Amino acid sequence: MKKLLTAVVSLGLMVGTASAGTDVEADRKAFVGHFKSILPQVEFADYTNGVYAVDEGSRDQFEEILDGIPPYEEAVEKGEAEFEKFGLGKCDAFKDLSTARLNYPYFDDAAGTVVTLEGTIQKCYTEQTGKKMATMKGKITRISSYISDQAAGGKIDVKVESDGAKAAYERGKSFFFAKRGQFNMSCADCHVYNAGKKARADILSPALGHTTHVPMYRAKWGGLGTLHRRYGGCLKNMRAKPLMAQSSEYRDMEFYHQAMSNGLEITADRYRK
Amino acid sequence: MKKLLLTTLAVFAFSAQADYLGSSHNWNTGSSDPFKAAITAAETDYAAALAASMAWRDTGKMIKEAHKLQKSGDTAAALAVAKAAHNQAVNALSQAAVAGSAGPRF
Repeated sequence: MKKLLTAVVSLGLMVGTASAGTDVEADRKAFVGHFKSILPQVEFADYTNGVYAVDEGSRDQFEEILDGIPPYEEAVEKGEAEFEKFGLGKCDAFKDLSTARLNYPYFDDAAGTVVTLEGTIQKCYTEQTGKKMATMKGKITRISSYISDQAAGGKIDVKVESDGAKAAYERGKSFFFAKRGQFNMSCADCHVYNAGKKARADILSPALGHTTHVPMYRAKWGGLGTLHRRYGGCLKNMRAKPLMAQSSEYRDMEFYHQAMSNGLEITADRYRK
Repeated sequence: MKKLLLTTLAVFAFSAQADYLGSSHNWNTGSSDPFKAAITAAETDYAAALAASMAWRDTGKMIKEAHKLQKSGDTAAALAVAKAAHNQAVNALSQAAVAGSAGPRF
C-alpha cells in the first residue's frame, strides 16, 4: 500500500516538471506584469524594499530604522570578522566578493543540483575548519549578510540554461505554487495573489524582490535568518511540515524565486518586521 | 524436573502454533482492533506524505498523542486522534498528487 501511494505521489510530482516548455523570461514578464496590475503605484526597482514599497506608514518606520543604527549592523560587522577568521576568502567561490552574491543560486550541471550561497558558505567553512555550520541562523547569516553587502547595487541575473537547470526551475516553480498544509495554501496565495493586502495585522509582502535582501533581520526573530528559515516559517504558518534548510526542494524554489527577481538590485537594507 | 520439562514442551508447542497461524489470524475473534487499524493507516500515509515533502505540520504530533492516549487507557480518544491524523495524511497525499502540475493563474 505504502509503495503504491509513494508511486502515485511521485507520479503526481513528476507531472508538470517537464522542462521542455520552460521560458524563464516569459514567466518573469508575466510575474512582473501581475504585480504591475495589482500594485500599479509601485515602481519595479522599489520591490527590493518589500512591503515597504507598498505601505507608506511601514516605509516611514523602515526609513527611520535605517537612518539610525540598523539592528543588524553589528552582526554584519561580526560576519566580516568571521569571514576573515575562518579563512573563507581562500575558497574559490569567495575570491571576488564584489560579485559572489550575484553568482547564486546557480545550477551545477556536474552535480545535477542547485547551489546556493549559504550552501557554499557551509561547504567552505567545513573545508577550512573541519566543522559543521548551522543552516538557518547565527554565523551563516552574519557571513552571508557580509558577502551579500559587498554586491549591494548589483543586479540579480539568474541563468536557467541546461535541461537540468530547467527541470530544477520547474520543480521550484511547482513548489511555490502548490497548495500544502492544513490551510491548503501556497506561497503564491499570500505573496503573489494577495500581496499588499492584510493578513490579520500584517501586510503581505510581494514575492517579487523577496530574495534581494536576504539574509534578513526580522524584528520577530530578534536577529538574522536565511531565506530558507523564512520558507520554513511560512510553511509552518500554512500548517505544513517545514523541510530542512538547504533541502533540494528549498534550493529549487530559491532558484525559481530569485529568477523571478532578475533585474532587481541586491540591497543591504535587510530589516523586516 | 518432569514438571519443568512438561512446561517447556507446552510453551514450545503453543508458540509454534502461534507462529504457524501467523499474523493473518485474528486472535480477538469477531472484533479487530480499531485503534491498531487506524494508527497503522495514519502512520503509513504519513510516511508517504513525508516522502513526498507534503506532510502537514501536526500529523506527527497527533500520531504520538494517539499512542500516548492508547497507553493511558483512553482508547476512545486515542482512536479519534488516530483517525484525525489519518485524515490529515490522506489530505496531504491528495495535495501531493496535484502539486507537480501547480502553476500561476495569470
